[in-house]
Amino acid sequence: MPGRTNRSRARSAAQLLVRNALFTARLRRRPVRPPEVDPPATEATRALPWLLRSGGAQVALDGPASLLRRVAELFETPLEPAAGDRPHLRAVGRDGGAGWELSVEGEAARPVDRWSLAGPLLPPLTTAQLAAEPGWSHLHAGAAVRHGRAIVVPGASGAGKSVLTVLLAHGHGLLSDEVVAIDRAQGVLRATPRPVSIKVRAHGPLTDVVPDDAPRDRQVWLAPSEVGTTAAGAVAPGLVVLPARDEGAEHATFEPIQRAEALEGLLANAFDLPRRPEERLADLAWLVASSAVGRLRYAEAADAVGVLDALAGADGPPVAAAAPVLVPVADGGDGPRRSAEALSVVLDGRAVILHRTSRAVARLDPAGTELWLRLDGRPHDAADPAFLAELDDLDLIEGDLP
Amino acid sequence: MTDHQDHRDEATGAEEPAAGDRGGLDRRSAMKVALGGAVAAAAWSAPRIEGLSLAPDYAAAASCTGGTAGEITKNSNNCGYYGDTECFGNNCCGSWGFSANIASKFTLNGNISGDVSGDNGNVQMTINGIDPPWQRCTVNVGGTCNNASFRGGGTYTFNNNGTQNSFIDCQGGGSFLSADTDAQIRVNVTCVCL
Repeated sequence: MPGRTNRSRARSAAQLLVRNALFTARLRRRPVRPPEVDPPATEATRALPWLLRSGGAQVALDGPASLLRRVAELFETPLEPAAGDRPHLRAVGRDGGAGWELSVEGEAARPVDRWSLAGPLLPPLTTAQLAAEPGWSHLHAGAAVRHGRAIVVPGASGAGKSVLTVLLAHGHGLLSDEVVAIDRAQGVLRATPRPVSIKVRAHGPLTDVVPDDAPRDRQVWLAPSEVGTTAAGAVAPGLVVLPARDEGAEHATFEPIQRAEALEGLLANAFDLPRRPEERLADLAWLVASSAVGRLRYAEAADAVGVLDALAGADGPPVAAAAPVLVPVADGGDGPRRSAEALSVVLDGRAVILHRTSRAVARLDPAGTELWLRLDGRPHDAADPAFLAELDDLDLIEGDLP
Repeated sequence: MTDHQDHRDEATGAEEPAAGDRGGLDRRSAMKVALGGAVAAAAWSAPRIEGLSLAPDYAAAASCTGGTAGEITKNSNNCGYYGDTECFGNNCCGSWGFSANIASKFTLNGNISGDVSGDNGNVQMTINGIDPPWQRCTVNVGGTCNNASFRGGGTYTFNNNGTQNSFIDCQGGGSFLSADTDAQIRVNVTCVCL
């Protein structure tokens, strides 16, 4: 049983602390590799515009050769002549005296330098990527590869996922620090090649990971190679980690949680639910069913990395739970029944319900799940009118209440 | 994506939506109150909803970097006296409109109006680009006049798109003969992605 196994792993904190120390020492010895890219060499050889491919998205770029070279470095991909392509985005750079200026999609030009160049590009690029990859679900998450499996850290900006992801990926593979694509058909998570966005504190955990000349205490965008990692391709899932930073935590701990709770956490970080929500819900349910899931409490990111590394590598891939069960819509009878607006899935005996319009997410306990599965429109003698009223209040059920 | 600056919902790393964010949640709270007492406690014990949250929509969850626009300064530009008033606004000083773009996502537009001597100075600020509850902008309004800080001004938080007004008053401006013809208003705007 994966939950019990994970709990026993989490208890061996002392061992993990030792691993942490060893890991941190190794991490500091790793050199930062230079990027291997093929950007346009000089103004004379440059044809306008150039095309940047990132995931399924394409960006047409124009600007000085130095700026284009830096873009190619950041995305670690050569730029191509853009003839005949229909880009999702257009960006124009120019020399601005003290540095470059960059305009994206016709907006006012912003001053940028080599550390901030990717900043204006990434938000619209994310939107373009989601549109260009309709067959996959996308999570707002960081993901690194350890022991051949992906460790996924979902979370909003500021939740600490980028720091954790960069430390996890240092010397290993990086899927993304921001967007993870779920390819359920192939059973893998797919990398999103793009620069890493981090803020490096003067004495923070990333100090030894980034180039010495990278600015401190401001947001910077770095190529994966500049944080000592390599872009991964497609990787099977391993761990899903909900980060919970706790300044009072003496050491980092990974607390296994119900898969339904993990699914609720992923739904809060899903980019593209409104499009084909049934498939998105199934994709996310597959991910948590294929992973060890838990909440990571930590004060220091380096400690957390040690714990996750040990978990990912101790016993190989996690044991998958039973396949998630998508609950069919109930469409008959006058009694209370599951609404056609309520998409639901059962994981380990607990239902997670997503209202396709309001996007409310309800997670039921086992008793509630049992009742939910019986709401098929037949007259109901449930002894829990308040529970039914609550479901009704969330527009999750239809029909006549008892 | 900073070094752990924020403290959020432990399960998701995202902010929990406020009860007022959605009518259904309000009704649910109201229903709990209406049921009240022991009956309610018994009814809500089991079966039960263990977790309730709100998934973001497509636009709201789009990746976002936030940022700070450079300080916007508007000087009275020696506009001098106009009748018996000195204007903050465009009656005599030309356009005092201002705008800023933050991270190619958020926009601030506004204008400054009123009279230095009339205790009716106003800075109007309109923010767009916020996808609540995932982003927030703050605008700080300050400045000097008659060699002193303005009365009024301050920091204004935008959790949603919309307009707010900031009262400003040039201390000493009531006596126009002593009014500083080089009043300066400073506006700073920062937007963050939560």
